[in-house]
Amino acid sequence: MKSVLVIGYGNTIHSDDAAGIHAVELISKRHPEFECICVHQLMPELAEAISKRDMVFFVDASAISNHVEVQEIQSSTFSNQSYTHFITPASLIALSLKVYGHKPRKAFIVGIPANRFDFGEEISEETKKEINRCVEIIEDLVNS
Amino acid sequence: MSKTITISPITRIEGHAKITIVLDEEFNVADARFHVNEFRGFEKFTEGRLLWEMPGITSRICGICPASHLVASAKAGDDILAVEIPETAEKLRRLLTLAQWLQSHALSFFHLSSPDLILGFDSNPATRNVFGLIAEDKEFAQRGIRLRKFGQEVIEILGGRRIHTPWTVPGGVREPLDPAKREQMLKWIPEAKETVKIAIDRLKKIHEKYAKEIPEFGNFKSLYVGLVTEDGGLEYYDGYIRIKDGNDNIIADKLNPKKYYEYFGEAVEPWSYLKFPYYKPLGYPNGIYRVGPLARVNICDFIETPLAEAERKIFKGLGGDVGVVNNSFYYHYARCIEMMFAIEKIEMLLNDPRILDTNIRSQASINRLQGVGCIEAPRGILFHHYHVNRDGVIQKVNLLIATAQNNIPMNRTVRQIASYFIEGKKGKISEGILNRIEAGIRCYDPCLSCSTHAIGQMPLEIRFETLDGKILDVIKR
Repeated sequence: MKSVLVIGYGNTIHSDDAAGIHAVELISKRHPEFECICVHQLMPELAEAISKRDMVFFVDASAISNHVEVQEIQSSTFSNQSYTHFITPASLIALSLKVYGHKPRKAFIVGIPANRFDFGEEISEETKKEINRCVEIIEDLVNS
Repeated sequence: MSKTITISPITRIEGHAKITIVLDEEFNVADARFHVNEFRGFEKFTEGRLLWEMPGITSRICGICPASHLVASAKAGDDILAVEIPETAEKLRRLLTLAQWLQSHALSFFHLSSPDLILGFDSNPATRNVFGLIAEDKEFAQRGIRLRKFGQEVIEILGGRRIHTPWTVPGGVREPLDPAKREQMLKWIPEAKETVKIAIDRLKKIHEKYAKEIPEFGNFKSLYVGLVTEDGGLEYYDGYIRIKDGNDNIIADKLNPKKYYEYFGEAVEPWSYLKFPYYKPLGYPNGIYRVGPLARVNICDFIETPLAEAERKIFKGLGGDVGVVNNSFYYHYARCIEMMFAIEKIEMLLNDPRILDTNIRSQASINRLQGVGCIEAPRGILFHHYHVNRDGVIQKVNLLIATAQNNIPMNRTVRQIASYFIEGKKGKISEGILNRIEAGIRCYDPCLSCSTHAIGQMPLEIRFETLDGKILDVIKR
């Protein structure tokens, strides 16, 4: 069985910005065999958990797409960036390799279309649908 | 022709900001401003919510220091309920507050500032980051990650893994501590102490390396504000406000934190959304004060834990005859001292048998229509002030955050560094100098609370402009 980690991140009081969190909470109910982590933002210590898994998904809200977008993190896109408070998924993969000597076999960024980011705890109807779609896409990728 | 240099955004601080340095024709610094462009409106958003929801909501202000807002909010709730919380609940809240210090300080020192300090301000910007640090000293970088993980693990053990769980509530806390979890936390202590010892030794060598530059790194007299215990010790959860001046004189002591609004005013400037707090008796901007590690270690008479106290005495020596350390560069040292204190104090709290008591919450209804919660967050003293109606519905909120209180000192620091490194040096400004200005801001570890996050890199752009907006030059990293 594949060893899967799903990380959802976003701010849960900024409406659709919490899309990644909601998606991962849904996945954790459907797949207790996955390790699921929800965080406000990505942080360096996540690299250890990432280093222990075969497959990792970073699930986030996206303001630039109108459908769920999946981007595989390629080794060539590892960014040696300096902005650790905006540490990127690719950098976390690089960190897991450099610090712990192992990186996942596959890693993906999954962007869920978000429509509003103003204060609020409600997810828009459009984004709710995309959250469900995101869960299906992740399941397909795990099973492929 | 006068020029404006804008550095936007500043890298490796929490949130979004930029720096503008205005130069006259002779390249003398006419003005320097640290702008914060993000308007949050958080205080308005919480009006109409129930008091009991506030810890859970306010902890979501920030991804870096949620536990600080959680505890300050719960304390404001205690005040409104007019309850004294059980002794064990206070100990558990103290544990959470210290874990937040440790986690946040570790991020600031090891990940955000160490690349500058260890690799050098003039080192290659492409590798002056945590990856460059790993290449230089893998064990040091790993230790930093693990130290932060320790703090985070304590927070998760107490509050649960789901983000921003309102484990701390008005009247106390929701769950007692599991004895097995106590043992799990205690196992971290030896490694954590060793890591901070290594960090302090490393930092002392850095002080020698930058001996010539440090005096120009935000070195000015100001007031220092923070909490101390009844007998003048370093405090982080309760106690009284003490204010010292830049000559080590105590100018106010044993002030009640619940009356903060009588001591501190908040000015506004049209060019920044961040307020400019000041000490009212001295007015704005003369009432400039600093908060956070530098202030706390400066104002206290002692630290109750031995390793941190030994370092505090060495720290005080840096102040020379003045007796107070006025240089913002030493925020890093003070931060390391506080990390050691946090570890030692966490150990003391965990070894106290009463930490496992199950009497952890006092129950009451609304007994006051306003309340103030005050704690020391990693970056400085934090106030939550709520007004409620008789049903506990929030009517008005005021949050006075640490980063705002350091706003005037951050602007002064930028101006001092810019003056030293840029003044009179016509021509292209080097990346190393610009990074020194950013590093000056990073001494304060400002947290501007990212409300959203970005995928991908945020470019650093420096613009040279004339007063009429004509772009003379643009530098991008």
